[in-house]
Amino acid sequence: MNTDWQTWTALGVVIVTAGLFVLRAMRKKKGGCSSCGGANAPIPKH
Amino acid sequence: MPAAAPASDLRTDKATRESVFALVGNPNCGKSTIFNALTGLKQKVANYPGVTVEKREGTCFNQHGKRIHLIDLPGTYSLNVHSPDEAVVRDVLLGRRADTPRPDAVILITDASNIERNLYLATQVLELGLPTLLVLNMTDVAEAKQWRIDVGKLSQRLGVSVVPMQATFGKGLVELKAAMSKLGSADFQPVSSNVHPARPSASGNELEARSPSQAGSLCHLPIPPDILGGLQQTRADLIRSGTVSENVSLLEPLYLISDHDPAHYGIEDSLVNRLAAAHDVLEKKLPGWEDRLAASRYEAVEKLLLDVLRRPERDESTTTDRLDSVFLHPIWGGVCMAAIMLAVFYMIFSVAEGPMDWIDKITGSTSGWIEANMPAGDLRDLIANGIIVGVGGIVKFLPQILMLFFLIGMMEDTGYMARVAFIMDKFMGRVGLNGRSFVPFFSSYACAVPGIMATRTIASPKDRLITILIAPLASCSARLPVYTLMIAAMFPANGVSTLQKASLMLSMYVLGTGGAFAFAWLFNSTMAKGRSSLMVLEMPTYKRPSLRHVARYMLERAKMFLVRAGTVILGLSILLWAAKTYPKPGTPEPADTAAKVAYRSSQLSHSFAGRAGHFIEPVIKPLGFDWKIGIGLISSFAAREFFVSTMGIIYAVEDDGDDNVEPLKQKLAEDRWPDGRPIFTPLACLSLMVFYVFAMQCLSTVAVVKRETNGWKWPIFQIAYMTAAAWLASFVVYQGGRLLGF
Ligand SMILES: Nc1nc2c(ncn2[C@@H]2O[C@H](COP(=O)(O)OP(=O)(O)OP(=O)(O)O)[C@@H](O)[C@H]2O)c(=O)[nH]1
Ligand SMILES: [Mg+2]
Repeated sequence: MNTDWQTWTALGVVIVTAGLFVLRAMRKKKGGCSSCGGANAPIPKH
Repeated sequence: MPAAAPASDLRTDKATRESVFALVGNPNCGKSTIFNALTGLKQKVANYPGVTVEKREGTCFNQHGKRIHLIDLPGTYSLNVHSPDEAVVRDVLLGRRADTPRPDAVILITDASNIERNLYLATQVLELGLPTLLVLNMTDVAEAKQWRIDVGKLSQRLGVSVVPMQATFGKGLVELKAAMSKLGSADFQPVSSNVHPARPSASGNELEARSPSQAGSLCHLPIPPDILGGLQQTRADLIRSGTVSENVSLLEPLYLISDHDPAHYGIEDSLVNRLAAAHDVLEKKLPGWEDRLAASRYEAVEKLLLDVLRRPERDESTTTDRLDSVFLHPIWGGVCMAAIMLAVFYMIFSVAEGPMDWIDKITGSTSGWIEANMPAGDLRDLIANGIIVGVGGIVKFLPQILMLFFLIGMMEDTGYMARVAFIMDKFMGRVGLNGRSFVPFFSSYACAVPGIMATRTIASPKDRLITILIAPLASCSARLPVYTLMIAAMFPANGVSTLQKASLMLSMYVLGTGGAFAFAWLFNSTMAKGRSSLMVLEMPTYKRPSLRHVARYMLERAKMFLVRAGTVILGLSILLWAAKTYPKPGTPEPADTAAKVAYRSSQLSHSFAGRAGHFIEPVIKPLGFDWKIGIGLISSFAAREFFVSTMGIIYAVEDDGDDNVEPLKQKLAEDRWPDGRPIFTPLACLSLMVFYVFAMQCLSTVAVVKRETNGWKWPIFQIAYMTAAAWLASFVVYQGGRLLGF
């Protein structure tokens, strides 16, 4: 039982994450590499 | 954008809306510093020209608490624009940008220690007839050169208020605000026409032609009469052909037709040819009119300065001159640069080492604690061996990132970076890049995204494209974790000095730079030749770095780095954990330790991630990489530093009781090919580092290249050529090394 709820929760977390990535990709891309500790200022709208 | 701007609509409710002030001036004169001081915002400021490449907006309050909308603009030497960033200044000032109202007033910022060149732009801006306020910034630098500028006389001659400032120290800010309050008030008197009083009107060289409608915008222009006549004719022609609207001032066509590459700047295609034709007509009628116009402006400035500026007979040698005699010395300059760079990497390794170990320990014990206190199951595995390992594996590099940006900030703020540009300029010239390519390229060592945006300062479209294409070859800070992990895996035993590690790291940066130059040369000799522009690189004076400034820069980057770890890296870690966990084998895990290890490795091998790794293994095997590294290469396509997390997640195994967590480098060093040879041999590690020197592996860069080049063609080309180069370079390193017996 114990492992069961863990399995489902983990799966849920994965699905939500995947969903968020898809949403992010569909939204107008904002660009901007904040990795890099990104030396970037926000990208101007053109 | 049509030549006739819709800006007039935006101005209609002028009485009700807040007033708009624009900050205009030469590059590196302190505009952004003043913008930040007025608005409390944090625009990037650095001691080299070309930092701001787009307009930035903010709000401030004048003395009476009235809101003012402030626009920070890129620097420009002239309104005759040559590059996209300069075009922004022209278009905002002329009210030609749909997204920005025409400014109600201009704050013209000048560098007092370079007053002559700065006033050249002033002659153009004052002609526009907008209420203007002149800031004489960097008076400390002018004083150090023993220049005395008569502020009262300058103000009287130009007919505008002049505010002396030392922006970095906040000096003059109160006076500036007071002057802004007057500028904005209703009883403001438009700029007096007394702009260039020194010219005797009897000479006939000057024209006081002011058609009634243009009276406000045409002060005493130092425009020779024949040129003025020609310009008036051009204006009439352009209006007749419908290229510009009827209410444009004389100056608008002047700056439009001098724009040699209008297609570049968002003017409609159909208008481009007409403007170019108008330019040709004028050129035929009055050959050399542009040079004559410039000369007459300089003459006017010179005459003005005779009265206003007192300076020593000979400029004494300044600290800047003395430092430059070493740093720009043909031989010592290069030696100093190499030594400084080596010191930078040495500091990155040595200072960051301790804190990195602490972070490692904290993540290790957190995941150990979770495993001890949570019942076994998928969620526990996800948290302990997916999230904590993945995110912790990146956060660990925070100390190095802080150090890197501290040192970059110091080099930028002192002005040394511009010297590096000067030294590199020789090489860049040889491969066909001009001086303007340097700042964008160098910014790419922090991150390619702002670097690519900074290419907007490059006038020639071809040079700009080439710089965009090679910019990601500069080793950005996201490569730092990959290099560090590989160097650690190369030398798992602690017998190697920090200096050797730093040298190895430095050589990766050199390799990337060399590769970038090689490709620039290649592209330059194969692509159609465009108009190449000459550009003189301006050396800023050395300045004492402001620690507050550098610290702010560093903390900002650190924040971005952590935010990224908490969002993108976190998400990728979760997905990668899923990819390595599913599909699950049908049989339960055996209890026996040896059987368990075999069971787990077969599980990983059959997971989605494992299959993907196996799929590309044939392609990467000649580079010395196995399928697990293959998983890392695939997963880090979105963000290269995720390679480090991937290795952590793949090699994470639930401990079985012994709380002695092995560091990742140890696990890597112990991994074997099926035939028993170690995978992470020093040669394979080197090959992997070289791969990351060249590989594109960054979706943010792809996105920004797509936007800056208006399409998918160039980003796809870039991914292709960089990946091919990465593969080839790794192949040469690995196979060559093997032939040599490594
Ligand atoms: N000594 C001295 N340095 C100053 C002063 N004002 C600004 N600076 C320094 O000058 C350099 C350039 O400042 P920025 O504000 O980036 O200049 P900018 O005009 O915005 O430059 P671009 O965006 O490249 O056109 C920075 O290193 C500032 O710290 C001043 O009054 N005195
Ligand atoms: Mg700026």
